[in-house]
Amino acid sequence: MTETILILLIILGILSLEFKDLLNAVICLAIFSLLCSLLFYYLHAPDVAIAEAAVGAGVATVIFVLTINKTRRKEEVEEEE
Amino acid sequence: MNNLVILIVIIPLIASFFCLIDKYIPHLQLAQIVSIGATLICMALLAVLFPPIFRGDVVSYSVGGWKEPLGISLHMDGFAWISSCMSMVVALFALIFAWAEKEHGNLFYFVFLIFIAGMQGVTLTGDIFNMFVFFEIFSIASYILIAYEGKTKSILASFNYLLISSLGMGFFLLGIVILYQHTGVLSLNDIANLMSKAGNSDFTLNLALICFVVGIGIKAAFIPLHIWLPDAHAFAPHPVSAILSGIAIKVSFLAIWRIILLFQAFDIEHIFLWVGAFTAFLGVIWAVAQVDSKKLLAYHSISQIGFIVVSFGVGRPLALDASYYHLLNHAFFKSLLFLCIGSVIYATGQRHIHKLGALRKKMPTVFFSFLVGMLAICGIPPFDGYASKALISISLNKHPVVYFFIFLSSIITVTSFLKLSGIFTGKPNKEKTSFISYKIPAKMRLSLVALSIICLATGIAPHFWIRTLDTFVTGRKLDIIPTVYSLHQLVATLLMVGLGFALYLFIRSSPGKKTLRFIRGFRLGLNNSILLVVVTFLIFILLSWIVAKGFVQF
Amino acid sequence: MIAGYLIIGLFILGIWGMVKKDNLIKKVIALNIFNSSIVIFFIYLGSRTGSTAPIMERGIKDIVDPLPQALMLTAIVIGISLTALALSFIIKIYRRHKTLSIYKIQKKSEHE
Repeated sequence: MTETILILLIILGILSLEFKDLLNAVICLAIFSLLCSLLFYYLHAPDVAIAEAAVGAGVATVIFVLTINKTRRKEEVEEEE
Repeated sequence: MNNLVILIVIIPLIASFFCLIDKYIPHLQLAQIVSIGATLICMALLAVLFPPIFRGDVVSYSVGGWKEPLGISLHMDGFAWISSCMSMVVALFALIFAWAEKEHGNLFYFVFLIFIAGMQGVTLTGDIFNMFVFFEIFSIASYILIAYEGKTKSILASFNYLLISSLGMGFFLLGIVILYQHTGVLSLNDIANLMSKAGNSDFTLNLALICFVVGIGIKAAFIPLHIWLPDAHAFAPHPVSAILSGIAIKVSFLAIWRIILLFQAFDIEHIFLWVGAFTAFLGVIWAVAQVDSKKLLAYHSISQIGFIVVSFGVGRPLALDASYYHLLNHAFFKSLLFLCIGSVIYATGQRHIHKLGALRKKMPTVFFSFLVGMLAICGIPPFDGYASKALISISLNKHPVVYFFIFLSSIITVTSFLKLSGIFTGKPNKEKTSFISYKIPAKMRLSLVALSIICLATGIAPHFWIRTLDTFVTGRKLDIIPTVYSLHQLVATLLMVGLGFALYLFIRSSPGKKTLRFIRGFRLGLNNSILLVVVTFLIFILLSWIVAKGFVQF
Repeated sequence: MIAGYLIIGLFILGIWGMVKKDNLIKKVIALNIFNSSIVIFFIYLGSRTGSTAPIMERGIKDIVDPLPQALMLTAIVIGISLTALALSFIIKIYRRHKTLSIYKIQKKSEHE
């Protein structure tokens, strides 16, 4: 079970770093945090699971979305040097 | 008596809340008065703690009444006492300077006090996770303080610092994980007990040690980990530059010092000897190339940390005392220099070295304070820098190559300060400057003069100071103290000044200017600097693995 | 043991993102992943000592080590405050430079 969740976490991490649309990236990060809290629950750490769900998936997502709202949504294409 | 220890951390925290009330009663200047009052109260507490500390006792306080293996303790010993006093003195004068500037709101003092509390906590704590928390407190406060003026450059510098330093703190946390899993203890005393039983051949513990050294090393800024420093220190508000250069990097280095001595681990000190030599040399080479006055001073902070690290790397009691002595002196003269340049920028609004000139007669107080700081950092007798640099040279007598690098860095230090002093002695500025009044507030002058007096006082009787430091830091291990004013050292100083002046003539010529422009153009981006931190971490691990396997013996 | 290697993979993913990504928000996301990986590592190592959560009721034995959990709560909270601060800096940088690419920002600030 632990290994399955960890593999999913790695896939989500790669996705959230590779999406060109930052909003999608942030949603991936939110799911990443939710899976983290599930993992903590399985590892017998319910208090950390609750904190991670509230802080990582909740507050972090909100402030990321606010930042994207105030800046820009699409990642710029890197120019050649 | 024991409760006083925790009060030193708590009083700035309590006072910081009073600073926020200031918004509703703007004419009272409550924030300024409360913050200065808090530092004064802390200094009084430190004075009360002086007699037991001088006797060699350790005053401990267990937080919440839980004793050491379960709870967290704060320990005040001689080592922490001096560092605590140093931070309080520098912070006090930085606060007075900030008050004189009148540009900072109550939020500035709020964050400033939290910064001080975090630093005191790092100094006093006896638990390694607690140290992590205090490190994060003072780092977060310092990010906010650097970006406080809201200029784009300072925000960018602060953001770079945030990313690099968070990476370092991640390594630090990793070190805590490894340590806890391997030994099951987190308090520094327990680690020391374990180490004295177990010996030092364990690779896992060395890995934990390296995580700690790299993690805190980013804040202490020795060379592969220094890249955030020049921008952050140069574009911060002036009092913040003074405390960052004066005490923040020192407190971080002292934390490394304590951890390494606890671990008694493989000969990491020898690595420090070479790291320190390169830090001193490369830092000063970049310093001499700068044209921004505050950036020049920021690079000098790196270089002087190199001197401190070298002397620490030698590892004998005399060298350790010399290292601490130089650290103390550097805290005072570097904050003095930053405040001098800060008041020049305050009065003229100009920070480019070549666009300033002939301020000697217009700002005499600043000029004389600057002169004290300059002679101290160059190591001219009878100022404090001379004594500590001479002691470092004496302790390096078995390492001639390292001594050569250190001597070279001293020469270039002289050159770069001759260059910087051009803003006081050089030709007057051709641009219209008639609207500038060149007057600085009395409070600014007070903090400059007071810091100059401290610089003079710590230099005037080196034997007394080194004897005191020996009592406090290494616990009376020194039998004979070599004389500082020996013929050999005086000749070396004379040679250093002469060569420095010759080099100054060279950098004013056109090939010299070209060289400097070339050095100035060299800079690493954010991505590369993060990469450099990771690579340094890997190199340190490789070194420790080699040593643990016994391929190389120091 | 496989879990250990996967956690190390997550750790390296975070560092790679911080080094390689050009976008500032992506860098902060990578920092979050990096921090999470260390937290997961500690909790994972701590959980191997027992088989029930450390909630003390009568008859509960064989609990996991509660100390890593308490420490990691603190680390999570510190991580979120760092993220918030970094994002507020990003907004201010964006207002000035109108871009989130670190390469462009460094190029622009050199010319000032």
